Amino acid sequence: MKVMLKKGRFRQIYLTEFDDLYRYALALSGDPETALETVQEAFFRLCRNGFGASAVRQPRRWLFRVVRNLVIDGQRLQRRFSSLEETPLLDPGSPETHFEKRRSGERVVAALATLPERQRDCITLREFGDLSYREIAGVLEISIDQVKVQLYRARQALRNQLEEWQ
Amino acid sequence: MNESKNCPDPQELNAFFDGELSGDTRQQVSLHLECCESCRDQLQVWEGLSQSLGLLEIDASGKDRVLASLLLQLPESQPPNRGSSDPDKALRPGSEKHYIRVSMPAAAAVLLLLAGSLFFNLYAVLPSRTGDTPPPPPLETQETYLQETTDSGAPIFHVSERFNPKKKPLIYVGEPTQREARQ
Repeated sequence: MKVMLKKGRFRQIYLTEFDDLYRYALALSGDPETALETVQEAFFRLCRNGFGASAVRQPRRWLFRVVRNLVIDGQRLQRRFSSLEETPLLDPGSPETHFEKRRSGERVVAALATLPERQRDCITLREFGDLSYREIAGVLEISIDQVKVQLYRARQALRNQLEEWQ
Repeated sequence: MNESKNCPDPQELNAFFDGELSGDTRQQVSLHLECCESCRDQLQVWEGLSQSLGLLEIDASGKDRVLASLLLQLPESQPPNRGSSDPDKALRPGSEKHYIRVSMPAAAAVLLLLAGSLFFNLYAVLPSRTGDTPPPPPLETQETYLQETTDSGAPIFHVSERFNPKKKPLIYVGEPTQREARQ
């Protein structure tokens, strides 16, 4: 059974979760506009469909799962209809270009784009969503041990990538 | 002290950094960190990485704009079902519209009835605008005219008095005497 949200409750969830969701979507997609649209769509689904049982218990986890699925679906569509070769939204292979960028945040996004998908999922859910290992395992449908391994590898790879560009 | 010999597994250290270790394992790592500079450096690297990830900027204008558009699609915070104290349990989709559909015609009907009764009351009290036919006086002040004839065709007379339903009317038969006429 689903329950319609009230404005007050929705506003509370929105203001609490938006920043982390946006950073998460930005880290996954590499594009600010896509990130904003994705987060908007996730909250719109919360409006339209109301609160299911899982969303009532853990709205944060529910929203992160929806954002992740939306980004992945968008990237699949982009690949399907793109005649070009598969390339990430921010090209990680041109460090000089990124090195010239003033904002460190953009370099971080670029570095995240270099990670394998599973590592990127783990590190972004942990850093932006502040999800526990158990929650990350639930979202990604993998074991807690796998989360531990992927997180460690992701951090090491990010560190190496950022040091290489400095 | 040889640090590398006693250093925890990097993944365990990573889990310690994330606060995912508990009990004895966490205590052992904590004790180890007090004497191992290498592991402390590793934690600092991860801490710097977390801070770098926090540098991603948020589009504040987009945030407000999205919130405004989304709030338009939600009902107000005050639910029609006032018996429910839980804001999330109050309303199902569409029930608020049903509430409005029922209450609005009812309110319109009541207003029409009130307006109609007020109009007819005013019409009965106010004099006619044409002035040709003044409205009849109220019943209590109305003069009652009785006109009777005798069987023998005696002259017609009348009695005029203020109508009082509790008082038995007087009926005179025949010519009034002088005394009656004086009265």
